[in-house]
Amino acid sequence: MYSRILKRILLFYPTLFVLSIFLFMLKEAAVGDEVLSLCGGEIDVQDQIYQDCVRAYKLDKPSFYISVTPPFVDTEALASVFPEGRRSTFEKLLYACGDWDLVAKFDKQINEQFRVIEGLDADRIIALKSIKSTYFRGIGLDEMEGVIESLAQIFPLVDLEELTKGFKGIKGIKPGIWHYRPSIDFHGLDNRFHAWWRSAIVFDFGQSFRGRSVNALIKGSVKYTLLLNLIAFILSIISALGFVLFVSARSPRIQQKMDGLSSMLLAIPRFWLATLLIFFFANNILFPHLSFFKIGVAGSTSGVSSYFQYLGLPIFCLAFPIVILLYKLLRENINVELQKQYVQAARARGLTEKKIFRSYVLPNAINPLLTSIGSMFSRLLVGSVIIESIFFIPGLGGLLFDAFMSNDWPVLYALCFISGIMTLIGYILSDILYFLFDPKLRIGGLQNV
Amino acid sequence: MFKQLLLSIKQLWFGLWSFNPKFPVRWMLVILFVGIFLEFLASDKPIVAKVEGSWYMPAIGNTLFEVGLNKRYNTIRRYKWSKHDAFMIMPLVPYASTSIDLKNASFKGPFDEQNYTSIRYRHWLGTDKIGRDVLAGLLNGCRVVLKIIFLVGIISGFLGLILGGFSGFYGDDMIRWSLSKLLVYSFGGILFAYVSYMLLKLQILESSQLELSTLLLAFLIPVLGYVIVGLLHKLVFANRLDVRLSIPTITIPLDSMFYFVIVLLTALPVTVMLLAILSYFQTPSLVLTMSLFGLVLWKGIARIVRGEVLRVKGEDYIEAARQLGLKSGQIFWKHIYPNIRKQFYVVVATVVSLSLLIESALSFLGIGMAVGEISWGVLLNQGKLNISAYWLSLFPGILLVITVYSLNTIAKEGKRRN
Repeated sequence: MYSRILKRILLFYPTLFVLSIFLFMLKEAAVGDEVLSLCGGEIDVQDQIYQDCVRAYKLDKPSFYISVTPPFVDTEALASVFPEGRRSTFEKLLYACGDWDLVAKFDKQINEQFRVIEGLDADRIIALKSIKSTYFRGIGLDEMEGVIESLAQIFPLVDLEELTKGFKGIKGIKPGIWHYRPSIDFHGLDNRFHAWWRSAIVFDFGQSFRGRSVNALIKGSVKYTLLLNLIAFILSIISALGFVLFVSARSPRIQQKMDGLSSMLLAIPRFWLATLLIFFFANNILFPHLSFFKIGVAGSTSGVSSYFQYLGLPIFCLAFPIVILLYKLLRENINVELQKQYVQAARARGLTEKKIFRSYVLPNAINPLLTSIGSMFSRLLVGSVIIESIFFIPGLGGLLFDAFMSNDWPVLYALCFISGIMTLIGYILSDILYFLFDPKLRIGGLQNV
Repeated sequence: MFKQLLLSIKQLWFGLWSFNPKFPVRWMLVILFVGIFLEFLASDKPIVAKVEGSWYMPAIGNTLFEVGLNKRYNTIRRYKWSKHDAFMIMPLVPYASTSIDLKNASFKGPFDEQNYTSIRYRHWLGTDKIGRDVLAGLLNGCRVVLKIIFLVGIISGFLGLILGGFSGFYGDDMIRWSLSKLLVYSFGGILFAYVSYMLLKLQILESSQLELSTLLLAFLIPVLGYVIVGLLHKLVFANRLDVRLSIPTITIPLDSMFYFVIVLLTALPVTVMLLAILSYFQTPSLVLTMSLFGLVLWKGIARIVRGEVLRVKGEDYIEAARQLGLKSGQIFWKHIYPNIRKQFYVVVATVVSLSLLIESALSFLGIGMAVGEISWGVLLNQGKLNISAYWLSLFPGILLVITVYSLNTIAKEGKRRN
């Protein structure tokens, strides 16, 4: 058992590392032009802000320690091509022809041509800008032909022979399969992943796409989630125990009915429960007498009853499935324990049923539940997402939802990272708890749990 | 006939409250029936119609066309059936889930005054914002449930059985590979992973979006590659060069590797991952989303399968089969799988009910779901827009709860009977 806990703790960092690789890959895949998202609005590549942003976030560095690409791709040079769309066009041309020099030359020429605005009237400047934006959107070979034709129309006097020749050269090459063979490059520690992971590991998640830093956003909303979940969790443990004690003292028929009812209540999703509760208890139009509760966040000057008005429904919705789940698990464990021989022995010794139940069966039935606390700990965030977005509570779940809706990936990955860490810690925690409360494991039985 | 129908409805109703395990099975049969014969129950086209002297079945015509059993009748495709007075038999609900009735738009309730020509065209369970019939939506939801059950069940069940079975069966010390085999396999693995990566990359560069066929190919190439690499290794190294060169043997800790992957999958925010992958597809369909769900939800199944395989593996008859010279695959499929089959079905049922809940929650929040397919979650989402339109949240919610309950109970009952 010691070895098991040790194994989990030793596995913590490798797991976290692989987890952050996954998250980073998703981030790289999902985000378009990160610079534009970070600075907001329309900025040109030539602007100082753009260059500063690129340098500050090491965006012009390769993405990982190593890269496996076809040999004609120079990853470090490709990473420093900006903006994102230009790089995409560059990559498309590169993979189509498989010759770095040709594409680099063509790209340089066409970008120099974009910059020439001397002697052009307003219409032509606008046309040039639209072509430029097309090029910076990331286009392939077939669209490139149109771009060059339009360039020729805008600059009738300039000889674009070099450009056309470069393009024909790119188009003429059809590389064979052998050209796409893998070659491995090492980039050292100066890469984007390393920068991201080094700051993420000390919980510094950088800037969100909505202006504020991710840490400030999380700090502002973590109190709501913690408060809600803590109250809901404590309440649900107390009420589940109460229900179990209440039902266990009734007749077997009622016990059976209640167990059946609990498995039906377990199927109720939180969001539906929330919708129904809002319909009945926060509906001023249809049920003005019932609508005691309110939706949103209480002001800072309001009293306790007003807090209850705002937090009552969300806490109920958060606690409801946990109560039912704990009730079901406890009842199942109790039924198993009641069949065991030590109960019969206790009965033979003349103990009362109540005494047997409270001091023998119940503690033994609670023990296995401690493991599930770890997994509940990790599901906290996921459970809050729906409830907080329904009740308009600015907690972590609401933050996650908003971040998803507005494609705010830094916030999204920060939250995923935190919830991943929480899951891993929860795993270790539940193991230790299990170990502390179950003497069987301490002696070293039960190898394969 | 009518009496019998009433009786069976009565049986269903009382079965629900007696918590009898017969009820869930009946309920799932109802869902199966509605899901299969949806077009006969709810469609804006008649089941049978006589137009200009010839007979048509417009309700299922489109489906038949998609299967390839029918040619498209352009003459009757654009008929306004509700205004047409030819001979026809309309389905019980004369609306499809997506057909828009502008006369009864903006949240008409079941008891509100509705604007219809004949009582048959009344919306018995109300409409949503743009006048789509809720009852038709509910019936279409049954088909969505069926799709989810089959797709998620088959994909995640297959993955869970194979991966969990492998790690339970071979454990940490049963796979002993010679160093040559390990090197050849890992080299092959990296090579073929690169090939499928390149394939995906070129496809994305070419058309700036993923296609399902490329994705499938990218999954298939490593599998095929492994078969080829294995054959190559057998031809060159196995039993001959290994022995002659005395290449050392290495034990592969398959079970520990499996454990690592499971922990990783638990710590990964699977839903966010899925949504990020989905953002690559321009038109996410229900089939695609559910296939991806199946690809990530095998974790629970694999865990249970592994435990069960560990339980069965120690039995005497397995050892006997081994001594008789049966191969590992034969032992697994002939002796182990029949003994873990029931537990396997049980855990697949729970995973399927979980995926139903996830789908409805995502649709409720309005993220990552397909446009145009009305599921219960989509109706609940419509109900969120107008909190007073109780019919949009009450009915689909009840159906959802009963279905999830049924799947859970079937699973529990299966577990109890083992």
